[in-house]
Amino acid sequence: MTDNTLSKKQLSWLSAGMFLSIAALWLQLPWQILICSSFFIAWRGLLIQKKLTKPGKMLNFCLLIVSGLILATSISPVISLQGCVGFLVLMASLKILESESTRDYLLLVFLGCLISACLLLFSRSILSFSYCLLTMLILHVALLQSFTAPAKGSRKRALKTTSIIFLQALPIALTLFVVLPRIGSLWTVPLNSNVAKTGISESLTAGDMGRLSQDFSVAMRVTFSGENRPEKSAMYWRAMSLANFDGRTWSRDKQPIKLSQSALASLRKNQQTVTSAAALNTQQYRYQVMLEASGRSWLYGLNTAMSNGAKLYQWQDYSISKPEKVLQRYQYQLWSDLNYIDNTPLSEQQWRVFTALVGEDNSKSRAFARQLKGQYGSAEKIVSALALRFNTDFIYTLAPGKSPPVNPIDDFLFTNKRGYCEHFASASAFVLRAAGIPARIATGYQGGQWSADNKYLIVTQAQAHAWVEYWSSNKGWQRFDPTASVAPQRIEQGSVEVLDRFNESLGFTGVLRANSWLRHLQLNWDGLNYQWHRWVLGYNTQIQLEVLKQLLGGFDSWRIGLLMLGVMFMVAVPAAVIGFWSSNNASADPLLTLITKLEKKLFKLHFVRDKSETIKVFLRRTAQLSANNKQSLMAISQRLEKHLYGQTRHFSVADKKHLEQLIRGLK
Amino acid sequence: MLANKKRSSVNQSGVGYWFVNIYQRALYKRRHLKKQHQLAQRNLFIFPSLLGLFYLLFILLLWLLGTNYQNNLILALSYLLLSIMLISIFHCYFNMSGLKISVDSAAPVFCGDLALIPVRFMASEEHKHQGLSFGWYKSSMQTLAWDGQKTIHTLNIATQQRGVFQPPRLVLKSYYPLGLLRCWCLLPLDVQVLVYPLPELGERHLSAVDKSEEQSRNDLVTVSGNDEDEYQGLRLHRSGDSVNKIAWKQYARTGTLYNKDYSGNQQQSTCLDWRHYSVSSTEKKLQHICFDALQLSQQQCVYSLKLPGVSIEPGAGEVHLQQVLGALAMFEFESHQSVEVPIS
Repeated sequence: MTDNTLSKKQLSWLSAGMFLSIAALWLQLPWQILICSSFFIAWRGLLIQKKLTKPGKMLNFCLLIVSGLILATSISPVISLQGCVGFLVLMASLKILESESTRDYLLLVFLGCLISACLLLFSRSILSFSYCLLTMLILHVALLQSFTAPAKGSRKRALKTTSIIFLQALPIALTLFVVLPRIGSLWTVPLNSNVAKTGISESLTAGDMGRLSQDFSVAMRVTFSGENRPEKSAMYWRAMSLANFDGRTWSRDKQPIKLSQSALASLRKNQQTVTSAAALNTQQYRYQVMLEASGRSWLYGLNTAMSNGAKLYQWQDYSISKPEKVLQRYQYQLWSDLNYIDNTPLSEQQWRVFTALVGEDNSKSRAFARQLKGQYGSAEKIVSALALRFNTDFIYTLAPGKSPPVNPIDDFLFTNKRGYCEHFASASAFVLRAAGIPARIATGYQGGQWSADNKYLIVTQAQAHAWVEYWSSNKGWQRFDPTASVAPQRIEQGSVEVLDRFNESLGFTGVLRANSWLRHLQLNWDGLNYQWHRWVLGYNTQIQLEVLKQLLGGFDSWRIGLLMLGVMFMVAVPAAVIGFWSSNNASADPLLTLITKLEKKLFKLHFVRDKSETIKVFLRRTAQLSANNKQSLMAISQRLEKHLYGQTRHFSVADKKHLEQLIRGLK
Repeated sequence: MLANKKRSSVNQSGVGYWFVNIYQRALYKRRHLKKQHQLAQRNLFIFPSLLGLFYLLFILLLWLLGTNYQNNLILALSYLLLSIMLISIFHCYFNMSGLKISVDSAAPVFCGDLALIPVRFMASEEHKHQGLSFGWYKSSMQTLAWDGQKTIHTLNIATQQRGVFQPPRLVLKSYYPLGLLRCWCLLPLDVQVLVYPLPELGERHLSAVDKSEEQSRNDLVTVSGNDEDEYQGLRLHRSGDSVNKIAWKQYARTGTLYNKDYSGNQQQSTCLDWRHYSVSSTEKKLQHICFDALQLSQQQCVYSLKLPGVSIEPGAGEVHLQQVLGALAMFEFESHQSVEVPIS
């Protein structure tokens, strides 16, 4: 290979790799950039076929300016993740056009690798990663091609060699991945902030949940550690509480207060005492939640959940949030005790907030509340009376009709009597507040669907839910889900319906209904994806320590070193065995192996060759001793003689077969 | 392989190269000269190439990207590339190991000519030695093209000094498989080239003492004194005879090559004596003697050699010439390596 010309073979591998790496970004980059870069690549292709000439210096400069303009106009802001990747893609394609030396070629291989790695910034699925590996493989073949002399069939051999190197590197890379410590971000980087906001919002107006109930995409997946799992009816995945009500919309505090240290300490203390007691039938759960990208910062947990991670915020209403928005799948661990009660008395100010009602509207409901208060007195009794009322007279439906702009709660409670969770929750909270009982709305998800292997829970957006929390003077905040009394099946079953809808949304319902294995496959695929996210994407320091402890029994450096050595050994041994085996096969003279075979056979027949005997003498002696083998032995001797010392020493496969047959025929 | 001169020069002056070179220099002693070398752990060196250093930088870049974006997949990718680099160490080593390199002997040359050294490469059974290039230490490299299991390449190198020439170490290197690593070895080959003085026409003066002696022997005085010989007749031209003596007239007439035969050429002996050369410099003297010896040999004369401390009996023919030239080459040749002279 000379310095300044690139062979066609090299270029074909390189351009294949570059094409694959750039093509993968078609969803992430604006079409202008992709068209521009494919234009450059096509130009290069025509250049190879000598249908076009190289762009001159002036034209090159123009192309640079044009691509810069395209970049600036198609992506805003330019200084963002997409902008950087777009810049990289454009520069690489320009470089393809003008590359002619080996140095350019090698630079392009690196650029290709970088671009294909950038795909992983946007998409982190198994398929994306496999695709990225494939691109890397092809680019490494391109690398290999430039360091081996071109020969016949070298294309195939180059691919084979590179694949072998990749296969051998994989176990080592896996070990490095498991063992090497994770360091958090060294500096802040522009994130891909184009994630749409999904799921529960910070406020609740009639109709919000209805919109979500049509959305069967996965909201989160939950794995419980241990066999202890709560009933589905107890699984209220709480995001936050909404305490402010303006007559139509419930909303969250603008400036939420953090959970006080004493409350946190008592929560922690409770966890410790329970862990030491290790009672199975208590309602204590440790679980890991993998939240899909939601574009919002809060996290979901059961009841009064507690996080052991230091980087999460815990708020006074026992909601948990992340310092920054969840822009990609995020995994966190929580601990919940469903029986935990925080009955620290409410302050006067809190009491005011939780019983506040603006204006004088919904007068019928207010009167109804006063009547209940007079009739029953205590909060618990009022709640059960409400539940009874809902149970007898109300209909749970996703299509309740439009609620009027004035007195919506009166309309719901006394006229329409149809609605879904948020209508019930909103009305209940209003009535409770009107009766002077502190109440708030809680939002989140309810229930979930167990995965195919029953290992984890899938919660979809359709399971978004709203319920009421009221203050009871001796029990603290209590949950009241009015929907449970109207449509208990929504709380208890739900799953079958959800699953069916889930399939429906994918558009091949009929096929899926007919083939249960297809449905199975789908659930299995989800399972695989879940494990991928859990173990690969979500692999963090916390999991790493657990894994290392289980795997090695500790994280001393000698243990890790030993593991590395073991893996290296595992990689080296098969390679060495294969190498040794093939070298043995290649070096052995087929005639000599045949003679060894013959000797072994004759040894079994009790004829032993003397050290001084030539093979001819030995065979003649044996022939004299054994009458039945005389003929075949003479034939063997003759043939061996011919092949060993004769004029034509060619030894064909047919000759070998014939001799083997003769040897086998010896008795 | 990159037959890239620029790059190879960069690498040869690289830190790793320099470091290993100290070790190599210690190895390069007389006792390490070998007729045959087999490449193995003890003579192979592996160090990242320039490209490999860039590859490591690239891995660092990916690692930073993965760490900053908390992206495990990009981290995994950087670990994969690192493992690929690790694995290619083995591939690089096994590609080179087992190769046998051997030399026999090299023909003597005149000073200033290229010494031709045939080097035999023998592939090991199990490995295909790909992407190898070879050349003398600190000179240009060429690709090793395989033609079956064995191949012989003749390497040339300019000689600069009369005496015994020890070629520099043979460098073999390869960037196989991915160009990230450079595997190389420096082999001191046990081959000596006898370098004769460069023949140069010079004057030969006979001192007074010697003159009578010479004349009494009725010897030839000048090298170009053919005309004064007694012409004896024609004899058939044999291959190896001097072209100068061909009787061209007869050739034109008959079409057969005849030699003009002069009397006395065969019988009378010339003595090439050190003292007869007036030039003061030893090297010049040797060059002049060399010229005369070649001339005499071409004319198929009988001649002898007399150097201080060395004398060779009168004789003629190829073997004699070799002996004389060998003596000239080795005259006062002081080798710090005390190489034994292989005189054909």
